Amino acid sequence: MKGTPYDFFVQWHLTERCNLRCRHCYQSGAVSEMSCEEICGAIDNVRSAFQSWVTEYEVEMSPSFHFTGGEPFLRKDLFAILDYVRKCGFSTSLMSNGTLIDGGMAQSIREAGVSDVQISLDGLESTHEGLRGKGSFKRTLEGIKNLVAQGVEANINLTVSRLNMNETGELVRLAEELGVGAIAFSRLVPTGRGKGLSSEALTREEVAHFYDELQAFKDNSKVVVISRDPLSAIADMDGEIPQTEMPIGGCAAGIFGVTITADGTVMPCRRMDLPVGNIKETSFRELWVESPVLGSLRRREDYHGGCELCRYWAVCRGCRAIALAYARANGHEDYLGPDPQCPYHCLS
Amino acid sequence: MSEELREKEARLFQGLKEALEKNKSLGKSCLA
Repeated sequence: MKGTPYDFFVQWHLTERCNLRCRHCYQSGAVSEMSCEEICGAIDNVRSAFQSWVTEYEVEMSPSFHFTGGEPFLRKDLFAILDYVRKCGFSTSLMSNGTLIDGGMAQSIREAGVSDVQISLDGLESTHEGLRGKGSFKRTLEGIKNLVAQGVEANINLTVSRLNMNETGELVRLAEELGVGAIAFSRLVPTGRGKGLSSEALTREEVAHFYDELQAFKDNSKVVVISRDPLSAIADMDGEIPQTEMPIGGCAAGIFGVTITADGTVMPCRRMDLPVGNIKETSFRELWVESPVLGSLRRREDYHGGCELCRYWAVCRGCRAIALAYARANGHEDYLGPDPQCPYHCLS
Repeated sequence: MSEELREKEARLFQGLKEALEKNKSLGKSCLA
């Protein structure tokens, strides 16, 4: 097959338990957890879908599993799960707040063959601790240092809001000093507990300014500076804009990514709590094809309010979770409307 | 898996393959 592989990821929230209680967390409550045995069975379920797609449609796949929580290191069977996934031949990564990663844990992560660990860092010390709690900044930095010392690729992810948007330069310099692989930026989604920070979400103008500023850091830093925001596809676009019937970039929901929560619920994205089924009860292959929610995320004609007319639709579509969060704040259950923070609105 | 679902899946992957063959920009833009 020509072209690029189908870079499919499963973001798996193994637990909703957490040792921190961050003000902007998109999770809002505890749910029951699948056992290690159930999780391995569910991995087999997903693997079976991948195998069918490769065999029947000759799609070259590059699948990966990203385990997170809550805080994933609170699961005592985490390494057994990682071992099972690795034996299945899949790439694994972890997303954590970093506070529980001491030297021994970092060594175990390296030995488990984890490809990278994404650590959440939400600003300089006072900003980070204002969001994540007193004492968390130093513990997170210690976790990063322990990973780097073990030769594990550590990446920083920052949730951007008005609280930290002016700290980018100092954070990029900190990332360089720490020796991380990359520092990435994602917009705040005002959902779950994050609803309490709605007034700190960026405006359209602030988003435009932020990405302009970020571009300078991308060009002039020793560390890789990236944005995990679908809108960044527009800011980064160089050359011909792809025009395809199926989306090929931007928001992963329903296209090349899926979320599984601790109790097995499958969602387009953890920040879009629109359950499409449960991995314990239904074949993943059927869920992926049959879900009306996932299907509509793939169809341009189902979008409205601007995205459907935009020439960047195939590579962006805005953040569907932010579109949903704002629609819900206005009393509508709508995930296909405009991303209200998009500064490039309707570039038809 | 029903015949109807198989047909739906085949259409989905046909569109996906066409997009993948035309472009190289598919990426994990929004892990969180």
